[in-house]
Amino acid sequence: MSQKIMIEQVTRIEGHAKVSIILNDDGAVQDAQVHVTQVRGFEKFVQGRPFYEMPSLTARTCGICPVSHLVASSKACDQILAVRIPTTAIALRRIINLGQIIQSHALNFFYLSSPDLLLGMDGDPAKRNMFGMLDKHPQVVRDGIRLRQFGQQVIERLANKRIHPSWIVPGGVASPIDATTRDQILSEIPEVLGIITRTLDWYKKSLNDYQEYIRTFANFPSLFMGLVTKEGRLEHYHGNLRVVTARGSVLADQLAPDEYESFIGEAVEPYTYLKSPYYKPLGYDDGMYRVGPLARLNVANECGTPQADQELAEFHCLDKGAVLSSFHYHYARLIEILYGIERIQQLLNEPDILSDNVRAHAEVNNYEGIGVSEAPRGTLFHHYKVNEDGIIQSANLIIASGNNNLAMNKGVLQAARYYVRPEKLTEGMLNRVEAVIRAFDPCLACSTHADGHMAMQIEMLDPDGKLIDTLTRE
Amino acid sequence: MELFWLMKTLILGYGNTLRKDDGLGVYAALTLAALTFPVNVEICTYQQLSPELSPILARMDHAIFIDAALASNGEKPGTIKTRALQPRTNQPGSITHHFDPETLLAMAGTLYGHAPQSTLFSVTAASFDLEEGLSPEVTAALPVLIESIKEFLFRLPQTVAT
Repeated sequence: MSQKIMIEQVTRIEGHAKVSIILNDDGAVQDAQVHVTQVRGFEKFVQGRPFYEMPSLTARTCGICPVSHLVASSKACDQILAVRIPTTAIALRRIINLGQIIQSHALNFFYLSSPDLLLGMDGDPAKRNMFGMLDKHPQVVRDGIRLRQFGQQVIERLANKRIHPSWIVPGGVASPIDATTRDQILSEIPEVLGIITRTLDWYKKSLNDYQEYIRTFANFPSLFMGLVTKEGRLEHYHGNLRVVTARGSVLADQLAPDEYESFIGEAVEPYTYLKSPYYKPLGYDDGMYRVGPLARLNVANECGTPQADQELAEFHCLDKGAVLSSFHYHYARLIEILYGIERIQQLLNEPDILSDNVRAHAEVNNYEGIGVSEAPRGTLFHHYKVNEDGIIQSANLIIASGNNNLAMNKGVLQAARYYVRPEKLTEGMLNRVEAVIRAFDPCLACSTHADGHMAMQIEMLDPDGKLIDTLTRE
Repeated sequence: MELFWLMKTLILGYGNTLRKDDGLGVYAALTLAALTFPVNVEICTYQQLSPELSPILARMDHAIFIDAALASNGEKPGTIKTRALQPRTNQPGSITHHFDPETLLAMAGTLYGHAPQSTLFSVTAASFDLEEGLSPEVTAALPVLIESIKEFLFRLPQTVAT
């Protein structure tokens, strides 16, 4: 007899997801599927709009990382204009993109995931949240708030708005920054560097406590993909794509993002609205890859900033080849926060950072534009085709979270096989499955939150598809 | 010699201006921001409340929250209500992306050592539809709300002796 357990609104993922766990005749877990139940439809409804509206329109894809969409979209529009972007504008776009990454990673690590890490996967779900950490871990909460605030302030100081700013535009950015803005951000760097260093020290010492999760949370061979510089350094704005294998060897290097259609396929599965991208040369079955902070650190030789380089070297020692456990997305996020802070400092100290030359102007010169950048959750692709008047004829977006769809499904299956006891679902099991998804930090919402709350439902089916048990969080 | 320092007040209007009357707090704060207030009064707008506001609140002596409210007990749209807020002592029903004022006050007190005396001004909404602008009922209530907040603000103690 099916059973439904209602849990209060404590879910901590971006968007609505449903998980089906399918059992075989022996009652063991046979398969698991993550269903993303929201339709986005951005590619369709932007058709007929002028290309220069695309950054603002597509930024509405996400309330967490609108800056990432602004960056990728503006880069696609830059190609339509066929202009050379002023170097200061590129530096400013890099800074705001890193501010976005810092605030998003802080949100995931401190607000959404640390309750699991510090209060336990089996803790009281009513208290397993940020508010529940106030008494026992106030310093961690303060640190999370400060880091997120720093990232948001970087965005706000550059673009005058924390959410959905319109400062990044085709051809560059709308306005330069002044010395006051630069100096304000620079003055806060030592404080936030201290916070992230303290957090990394604590987290690395705690890794032994999480060995079970490291072993069972989406820990399997896959490809990893991310942007790198020509030298193979960590890159979030320009660069080319590198694909590495589970053994850590480079499978493909310096792939031109403009040619993504030649090496990325997009499959559609009937159980989810999220597309399933894969690395074409290996086919759908073997072409599963991961993106995002874990993948970026796996593909990069070095970061290019002093402290992050030390941390990356240590991180690379976690496994013999690539670091395979998706639990280590958390660790990778912390290193990327460190990198982001250091890199912002480097960029703000560049001699031309206050230059007034921050935007190139042109009319439509190309009928096609592809913009690729690294969003907090992974590689983000915007691809537009326009007519001679610059009106969008077609658009294709590969959202960062979508790249991880196949791996996330496989990770949920792995966790379900390890934790699910078919005779009875428990809240602790639900939370572990959810925590696997949370480690990927998917932004499933991407367009709208129906009522502002994220719901999750897990269904257990027998081999005939009959519903055995359901756990729902609403 | 006795010294005085100005008490700091934060006026915080919040809501989503794309959801009709939900934008009331933002419109009210923007209206107030166009007026002249002493330097110890800060006015800001937010789409939603988030934990990053707690350290800001902790630096304030008073906080005035302005928000739209769901109709309850047969209240007519445009009804203005005032309520003193206390830091939350129990677990909130939901913590996702949105925090309520009481939770933020608790975070300000616990994490940063001080929660300001706080008051919520709310106006009962007629509609939260996907639309910009306010309903006629809430539009009519807006000037009355502004006057109420101004009166309340000027009744607050502005200085304190050290």
